[in-house]
Amino acid sequence: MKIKNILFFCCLLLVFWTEAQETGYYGRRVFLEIDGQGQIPLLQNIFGERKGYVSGKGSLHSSYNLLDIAYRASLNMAITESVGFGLEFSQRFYRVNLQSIDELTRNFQDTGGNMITQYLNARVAYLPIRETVFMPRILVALDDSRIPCGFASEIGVGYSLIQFPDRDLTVETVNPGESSVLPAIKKHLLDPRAEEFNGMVFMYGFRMNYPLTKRILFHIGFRYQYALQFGKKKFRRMDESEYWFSAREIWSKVNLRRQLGIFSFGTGLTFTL
Amino acid sequence: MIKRIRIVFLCSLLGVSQGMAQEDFNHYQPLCNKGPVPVDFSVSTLNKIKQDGKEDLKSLNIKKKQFFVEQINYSIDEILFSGNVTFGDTISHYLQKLGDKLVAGNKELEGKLRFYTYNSTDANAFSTRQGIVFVTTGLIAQLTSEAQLAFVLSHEIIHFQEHHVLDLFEYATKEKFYSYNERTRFLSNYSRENELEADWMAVKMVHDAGYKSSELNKTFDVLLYSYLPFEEMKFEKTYFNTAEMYVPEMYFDFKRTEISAKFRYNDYLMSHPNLAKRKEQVAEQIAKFRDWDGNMLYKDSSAFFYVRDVARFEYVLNKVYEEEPVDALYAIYILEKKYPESVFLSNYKSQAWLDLMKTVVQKKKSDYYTFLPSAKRKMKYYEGQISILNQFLNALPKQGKLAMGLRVIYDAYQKDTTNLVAEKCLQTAMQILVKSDDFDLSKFSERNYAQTLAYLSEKRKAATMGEKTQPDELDKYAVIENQSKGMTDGFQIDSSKFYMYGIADIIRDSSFMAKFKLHNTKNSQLEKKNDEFNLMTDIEQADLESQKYDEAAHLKMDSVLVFQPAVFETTRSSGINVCKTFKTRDLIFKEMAGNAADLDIHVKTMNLQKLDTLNADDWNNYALLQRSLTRAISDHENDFFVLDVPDLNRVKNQFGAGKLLFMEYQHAYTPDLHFGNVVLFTVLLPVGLVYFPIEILSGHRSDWQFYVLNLQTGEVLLSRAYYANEPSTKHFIGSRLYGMLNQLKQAKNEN
Repeated sequence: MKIKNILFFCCLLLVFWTEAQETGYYGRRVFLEIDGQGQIPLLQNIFGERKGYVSGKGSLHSSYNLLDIAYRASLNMAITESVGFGLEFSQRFYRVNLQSIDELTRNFQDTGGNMITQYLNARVAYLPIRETVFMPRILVALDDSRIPCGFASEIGVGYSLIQFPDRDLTVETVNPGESSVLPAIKKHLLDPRAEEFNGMVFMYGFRMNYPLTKRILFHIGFRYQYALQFGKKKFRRMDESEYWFSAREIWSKVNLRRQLGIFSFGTGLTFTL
Repeated sequence: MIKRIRIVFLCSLLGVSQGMAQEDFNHYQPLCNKGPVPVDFSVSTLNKIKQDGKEDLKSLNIKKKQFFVEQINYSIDEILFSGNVTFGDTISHYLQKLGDKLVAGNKELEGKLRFYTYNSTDANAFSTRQGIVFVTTGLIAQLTSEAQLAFVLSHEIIHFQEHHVLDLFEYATKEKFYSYNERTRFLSNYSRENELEADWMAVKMVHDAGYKSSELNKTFDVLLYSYLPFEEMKFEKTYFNTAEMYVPEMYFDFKRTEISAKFRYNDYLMSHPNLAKRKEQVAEQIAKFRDWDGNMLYKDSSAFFYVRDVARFEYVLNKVYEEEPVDALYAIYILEKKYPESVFLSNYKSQAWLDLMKTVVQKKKSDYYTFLPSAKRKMKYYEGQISILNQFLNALPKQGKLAMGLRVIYDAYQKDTTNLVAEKCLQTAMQILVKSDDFDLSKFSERNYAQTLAYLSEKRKAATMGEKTQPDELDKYAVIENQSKGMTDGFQIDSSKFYMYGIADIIRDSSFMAKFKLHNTKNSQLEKKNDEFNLMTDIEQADLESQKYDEAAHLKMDSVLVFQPAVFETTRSSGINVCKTFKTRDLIFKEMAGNAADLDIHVKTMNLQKLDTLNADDWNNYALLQRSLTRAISDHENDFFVLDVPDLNRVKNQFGAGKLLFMEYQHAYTPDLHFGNVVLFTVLLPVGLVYFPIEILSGHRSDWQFYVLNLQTGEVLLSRAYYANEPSTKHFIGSRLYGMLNQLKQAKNEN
């Protein structure tokens, strides 16, 4: 709620902020940007992790982890001819393969104090991730380009909220005869402590903004981002868990996945207000 | 019948008055376009390309033909529309007559050639494939007879007749596998052969026209020595002497620098053979005509000498505008012998002296600037009689240069106090004087040289009578003070400081002194502001600078005259993309009009968009503004040049706009994706993933230059440059122009 209020007041401030009239595109200094962003992590899929699974037609089938898309919306202001400031809201949708091999393992102490270790040959679908980012950013035009028109670099530091919109993952045993255990597995598949994570994003991007009309511009560009994930101390501890994927495992896998998606392509429209 | 007589009388009167006006070199007006506009000027380049494209050039394939037709028409129109070419003027008219005479009877050539004056100090002539022959005023100024001009024209006519331009292009493009060096060598050799052919055939043309053979070879003398002034006249030691200024003759006792030009030089890689070869060939050719000089020969008409004087006046104008004051002053010196009362020469003498005076106060430039062409021009090496003048001017100390400049400019103004240019020159001279640390008016004598001599002689006489004229012994400081005032230790005039006695009457002129004090006060205020600036912190200085930068563009502009922008769409190999250049030029005008309307700025244009609607007066305005802008923007921060203010004011009144906006725009799409880079960054893929997108997206290079000229005062009010990685599309251009106009419309912050 606090964040929402802060963002709202920042937007208001931007809208009423006035300075020399010469800045901006056709004299308009405040602009709204709506973008689509995506990446195809080809190298990561080819050389990095193995294929995971997606569910379809009632069963799991092997698939590359190619989904990584986002939408962004930002409200910006040209402060001078070459510098702009904006607040960006974005949601990125991607997924992580929780398994390294087709096996589930857990290690926990039962109520009687006995250490229990279980293995099961099973496949689990990708875990979908929704990462919501609030990011203040600065736009710096190259040479004498005029924000928002032309070639510009963008630098931002954002707060990320990493959530899992679908925790009910499809699980399939390798041996079809063992499928009776699936309901029990699904009940304890993901540790509820790993409900959401927080983090930060450090972003550098560049884009070219082509004017289409006096009010609308089209831009295309690339972004590089380094993602930091909070909760290292909280989730990195090696502890027993009756969940097949402990909070530690999920945290690590998500963290690793976020580190890999550093380069993305984006395109969208700019509307001057 | 009476009516007819009246008409004839009126016509003859008109003719006489026009003739008188032309011959009045005392009130000479720069060369003007006159009469109907020739087709060469009224058809657009794109139409010319279209028309030429229809022509059957069988020797070229479609691609080469397109390139040839585009480039040749573009280049020629760049010359035609440069503002330096005139039509219907005295010289062009004379050239046309002479050219027609040379081709008379030749059905292949008759009526096909157009002759125009190209206003330049270079001695040159050239013809085009379309049948246009350009002759520079610099060449005409150097010639000594009409026969020489006839030979030059014949040479150019032969180039046209023998299709040398197309021939050379075919030769240059026929062999793909030559290296650059091979191509250059073979091409220059081929070009030299064409030149010899043109000389050889021109001899016959001149012979047939009835000119003397002896004048032909003299043409090569003219070409060889054309880097010298148009006369080699001894510089009089008393030239600068007036009733108030005496320049000792010892100042002119320099050794004249020998003239070094030679006929025989290495012409390897040159487009023209050396002049010795040309001379020999022409002599051989002349020898073949046994009857030459035996028949009645054509004598130089008085028209030639009149035209040559026009060209010489233009030479002065061009030299002044090209910032070559020494050349200009020597040319003025020569012309003044014939036209001592010329207001034109008087005005341009003042201008040339302003250029000399400003060197005293110019900021020292870094080493980088010394390699620029403009700097090289100032380091020019003079030979012959002009070297005496040059050495005298170089020997003059800074104070002397300022005093002599003031003397000349002041005298010019006193001759005619209603002369606006002379008045502006005097004001500008005062601005230079107050800026200079070397000029202290209190040190100058209030007696001129002769008066001081008389005064000292009287004093000496009194001394012999027993009166004391000076203290027995002067202390160190009194000696220094006396020296700075142009006195010797023995209380005599130090003649090397003759200039200290050269402005005595000016010092006594109270109206001059009042104006001078006003300039001094203004300068003191500026200096005070500079002192305040120096005491500011870095942040305060940066703030002030940025504020000044913004404010400089706030000119409260409600109406503006937009001049034809210089637009260049260049290709990767620095060539011109002709069609795109014209499209972008049109786009700029369209966006300028649209944005100005949005911002409520009244725009008038002086452009070449609708050529068929322009008349001779429009072309004259165009040439005036082009010439003024070229000089005004070349070094406007250090320049103290006075433009032709009365003419600029006339343009201002005609268009109803006090300010002129001129734009230069150059665009190219040249991402740095050379083979080496592509290979390197493909191997280093992670770096390539950053490098390639950046290069592809930011490969556009757009260079903008904006200049605003005040048509009232002739001063550059604003100069702005922008460099951005933007394509030359509608809204990129539109938003840039909107931003510029928006700034120009705002009023300055009075705080």
